[in-house]
Amino acid sequence: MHTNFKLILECVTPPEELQITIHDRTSILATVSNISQIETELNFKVLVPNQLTFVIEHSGSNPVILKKCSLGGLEIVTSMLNQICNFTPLGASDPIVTTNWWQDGKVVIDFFAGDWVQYHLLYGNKIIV
Amino acid sequence: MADINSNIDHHVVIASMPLVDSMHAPMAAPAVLKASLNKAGIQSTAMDLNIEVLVKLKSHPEYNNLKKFFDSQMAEDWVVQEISKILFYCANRIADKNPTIIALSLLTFECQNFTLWLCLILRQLCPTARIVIGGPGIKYHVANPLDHFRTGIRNKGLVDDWIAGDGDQSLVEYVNGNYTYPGINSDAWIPAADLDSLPHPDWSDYNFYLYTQSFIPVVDAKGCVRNCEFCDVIEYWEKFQSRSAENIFEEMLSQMKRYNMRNFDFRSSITNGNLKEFKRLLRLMDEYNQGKYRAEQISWNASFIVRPNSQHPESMWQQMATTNATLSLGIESVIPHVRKKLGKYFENDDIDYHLGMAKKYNINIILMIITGYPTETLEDYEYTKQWFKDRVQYNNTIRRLFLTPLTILPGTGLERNISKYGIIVSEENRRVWQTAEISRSARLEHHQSLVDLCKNKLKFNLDAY
Repeated sequence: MHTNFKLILECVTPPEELQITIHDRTSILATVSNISQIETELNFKVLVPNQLTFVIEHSGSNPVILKKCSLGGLEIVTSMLNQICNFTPLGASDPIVTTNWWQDGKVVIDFFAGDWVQYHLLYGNKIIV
Repeated sequence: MADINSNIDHHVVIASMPLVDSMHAPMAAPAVLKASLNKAGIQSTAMDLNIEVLVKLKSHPEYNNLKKFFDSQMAEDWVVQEISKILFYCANRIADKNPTIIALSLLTFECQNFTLWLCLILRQLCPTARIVIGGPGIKYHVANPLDHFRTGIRNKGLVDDWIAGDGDQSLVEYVNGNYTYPGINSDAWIPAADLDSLPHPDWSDYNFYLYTQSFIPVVDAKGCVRNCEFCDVIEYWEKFQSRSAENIFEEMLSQMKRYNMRNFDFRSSITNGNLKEFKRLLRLMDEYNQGKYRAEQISWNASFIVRPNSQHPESMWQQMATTNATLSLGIESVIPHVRKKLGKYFENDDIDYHLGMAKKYNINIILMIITGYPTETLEDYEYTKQWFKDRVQYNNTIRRLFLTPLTILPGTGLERNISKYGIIVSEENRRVWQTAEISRSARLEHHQSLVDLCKNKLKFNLDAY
């Protein structure tokens, strides 16, 4: 049985030549190219709601600020975790709200669709104070 | 978080944090603090989340693997889902009350890892609530001023504030927006001037059905009259304070009336610190129990200091029997010169007197010994074994025997004396230490040998660590 997911990507300015690839640990689930809207909604199905990775690539020249990124009604929390706790990011950059991410040209968001607490525990991440 | 708005009606959730491995009686702090907030006209809910988690864990086939998370934040893959469920359960118990302030009480450092993760979830579920932590467990070692947990968790943004020391008054001040009150984000705190003036704990939010025994905690005193060098109680509560017998008994009567429970767990370090008030309390309990069936009588547990015989006359033991006492005696060492040096001024004859009286009047004793105190010699080790052999007749009177290797706690007199005693201690683990005369392995060998002797040959009911 498939689970429906909705990814909402909201930018401050219209992006140019933006491409998003969604994949799980083994295969690509969806690819969307030429996104130009400030708010983009992507719908896709996942067989096993497990770890998902969003690779967001941007090859335009204008700065794009990612404002919001949510999945299935739940705002992606990886950024918060990385910000306030010493979690090791599993991807490249950190999609923190208002981060100017275009310079890297690529952002990888790892998201454990089922439960982010489980995700971090599985990867042995600790909160260090 | 925004500053506390003193113009709004606050609802404070006070919750005890797991994991304290004790199922017999409730964590007192939430009920104590709820009473103080009530008195100040502030609404609150008190939760013993520790027992709610313990009940789940204790019956779980993966208990040991689940407990690893509380110890180290590590978890095997197959228990990750269960841990997540526990965390979200606790977070939702709090969030369901729509709190404006969340006060988390940490009794020991073993509550710290769970608190970190819970706060992370609470930040999502209750984004506008202020989170404050308190209790001895906000430090790894209570007397160590360099301990960084309380400041580190605040710097990470997981909590807004921390409160040092007793929160009876400081939590009220905190809710009212008085952040400069002593103890709020500072180690300098003010103990209550008069314990009798504090309101009695409010247990109305607790579910007593969850505990294995029906004991109601009573905080009868704070601090200690002794100055034992290994102990950090006096570093935390510098002055001994006790309540009057009448005030304590009034609380007991009101709790009995409300909850129909007659077993009391006195939570002070020493219940007989103020001997005059203790004798008066004994008399009040004795009078209450007269002419009643056992099921209707008061019974009580308490930590109890051994004193010279003359101060604990036989009439006192008779009253302790009629009031169904269980006494925890921390005698620490059976070597007189060692005991005296560490701060306990009584003789071995006094210990024998206490054990003899307890046996005569059928009073349960819990005996606590530190195995291999730094000033003990190899000859002392042998003496200790012989001491227990000579007292095998008390193996029923001593309901539980704790044989505990010493941890050298930061900030204590013992730590200040380590060079004097020639102790070499590990900075990472205060249980790892040795002296120039006796190696760590020799000391642990003694510990194990004493455990084997007392448990297998002498048949004491042992709790050894």
